[in-house]
Amino acid sequence: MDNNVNLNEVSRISSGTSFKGEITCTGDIRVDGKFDGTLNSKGRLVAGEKAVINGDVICQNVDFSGRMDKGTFYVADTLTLKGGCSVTGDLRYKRLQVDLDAKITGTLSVLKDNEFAKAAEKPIEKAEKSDDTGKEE
Amino acid sequence: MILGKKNNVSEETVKNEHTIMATNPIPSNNMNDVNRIALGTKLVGDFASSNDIRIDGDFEGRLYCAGRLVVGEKAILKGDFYCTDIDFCGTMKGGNIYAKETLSLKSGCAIEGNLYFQRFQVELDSRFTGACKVIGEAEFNKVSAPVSAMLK
Repeated sequence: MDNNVNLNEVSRISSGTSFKGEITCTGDIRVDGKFDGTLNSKGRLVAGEKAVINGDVICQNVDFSGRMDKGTFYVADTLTLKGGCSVTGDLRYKRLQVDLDAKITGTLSVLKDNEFAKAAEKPIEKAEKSDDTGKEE
Repeated sequence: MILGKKNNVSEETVKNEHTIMATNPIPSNNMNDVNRIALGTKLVGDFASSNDIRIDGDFEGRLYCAGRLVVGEKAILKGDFYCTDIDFCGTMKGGNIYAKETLSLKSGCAIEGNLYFQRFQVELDSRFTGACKVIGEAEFNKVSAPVSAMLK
């Protein structure tokens, strides 16, 4: 990873934070808190040791040290699962790197031709279901 | 006796210096504790944090922050915001802002929405359309409860 990344351009969900919903992001993002929903990023996702992520992650690159209880990764380039991380879900990637002590439960598959583009262009319906808080008219 | 005392003092000073050395890295850790929504990032949904937040991108939904919210010049917000202190330089397109303590509108900001606060500060060249009301801590806690409950 480049060291000359400007910290001000990195979005960050710190520990002690909980977010439910949808994130669209042109740059990099770091998560140390709790996130439920859909993340669609054109950059890199770094999830710290204390991060808890559930939902769909659609990203160029991922460094994952946290926990995912339910969800799907679509990673256009490299998915790196660090030692100590715990992932339950589906992993789709171009390239995969797994450290010793990464706990993985689920399916692993290499992305097919249009799979990533499809995932990236239609944000998932699950996120919408959770925020229909009395907006019926 | 006097010598002994002096020695004690100097030991304490040494200890203090050690603690200062040990606590020095904290500012950089604090940097990591600040949430940041950078330019080019959009969040839609419910956000709750016990730390400070800086927004330079877009946010739509409900946001609770037990610390300070800083809204940069290029930020575009919509929805309900519940924070202890707020510095606002950006654009608000509809919604409500609740400040438990101080709400500060900075020069160049543009707000469409309602403001609730305990203390209010406005700089010259702030644009603001909406209603204002002073609220107490009890009312703040009541209105922010649905979002702050996410932290539990």
